[in-house]
Amino acid sequence: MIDLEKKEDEQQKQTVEQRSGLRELFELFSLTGFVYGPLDSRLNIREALEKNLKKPVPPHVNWLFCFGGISLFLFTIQAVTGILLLMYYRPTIAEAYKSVVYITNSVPFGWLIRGLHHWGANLMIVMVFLHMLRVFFYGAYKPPRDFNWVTGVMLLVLTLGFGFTGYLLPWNQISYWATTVGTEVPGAVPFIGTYLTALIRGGQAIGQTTLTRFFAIHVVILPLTIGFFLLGHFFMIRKQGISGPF
Amino acid sequence: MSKVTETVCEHQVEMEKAPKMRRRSFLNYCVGATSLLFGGMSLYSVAKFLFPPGAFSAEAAGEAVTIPLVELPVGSAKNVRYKGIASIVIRTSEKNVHALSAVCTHLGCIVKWDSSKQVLVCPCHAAIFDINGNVVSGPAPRPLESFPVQFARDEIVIGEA
Repeated sequence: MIDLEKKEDEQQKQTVEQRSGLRELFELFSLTGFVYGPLDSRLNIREALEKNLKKPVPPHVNWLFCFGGISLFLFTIQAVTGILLLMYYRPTIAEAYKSVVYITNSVPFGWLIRGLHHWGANLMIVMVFLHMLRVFFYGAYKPPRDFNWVTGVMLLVLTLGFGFTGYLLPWNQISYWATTVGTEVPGAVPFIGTYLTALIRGGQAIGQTTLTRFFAIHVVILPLTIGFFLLGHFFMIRKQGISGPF
Repeated sequence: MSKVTETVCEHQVEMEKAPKMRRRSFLNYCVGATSLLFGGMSLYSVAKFLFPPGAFSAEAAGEAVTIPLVELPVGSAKNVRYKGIASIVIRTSEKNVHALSAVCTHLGCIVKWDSSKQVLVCPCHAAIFDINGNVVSGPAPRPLESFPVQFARDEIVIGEA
């Protein structure tokens, strides 16, 4: 046993000596470094990857169990296309609509990026709802997964918040009036309704302050918040495994 | 009978000699090629998206810039874009106009016209150029590029009109 280990050690020493400095550097800073090279010997990336990719799925799992994953996939698309749109979008009432038209008509593949963001938003809301329905009808919200349901409801609210705040950003007729209607709704709350509406709008009517607020919520506040809840949601799934069979 | 077995044997030998591609590795290649194609197309469109239209065409266009004389009184300077380069046009007297690149040859700041000292001063590291673009002092290694200027009735034309 000890002899064998000694032999392996010698072999490893030899391979280390054969490496040139340049190759070592390349491997350290490249993907091969992460998965096969010197970084892996320190971080065990390969082992972790294999453990995650080869994690067995219980046999009762079917397509209905994929809605959460599809929601995450769509969220990633929203994050990437959203960051790309930020490169051209200008959040002022004079420039917002113009910049959106510019993205759609003039920027190469701008129509594609904007279309992906638009369709991704709608599909994500659909998928989050389907995911929630599946969890509800299978009773997968019951303990010990009850806190997963709680974070899931938070994620649903945040997703709808993304949709509501993103809708105003193109600053066209439909978004302006939809936001007018949407911000009238909290006005019905007794006693504090008018204050709530004024808080959301940043004034009496929809204007530059509203656009600035919605932009800030859409690109900074909501992404940070949803990231926090997503991490919690996924950590609990990983810890508790897939629910069922039922 | 013996002939048939012989041919079968030969065939088997050939099969063992020939490099085998297993079904799984073939499928793996197909998946790899598809994802490479898809990833490449996605990356291509994203890369194109990040370069706005006209990002490079401004440099290529060598169109002449015209400035009405009323906009440039004697002793004043005006910043224009010529061939996509930030440039400065200075009118020192009634019939004397200079057009220079305003990009300092040191580290690329935009120089300003100091009318009292009749020099161009770079705000970043205090390089000084004279009216013809020659270096008077400072860290600038080369003179400023100057552009041809012509008078046409009531306007100034920069470039070969």
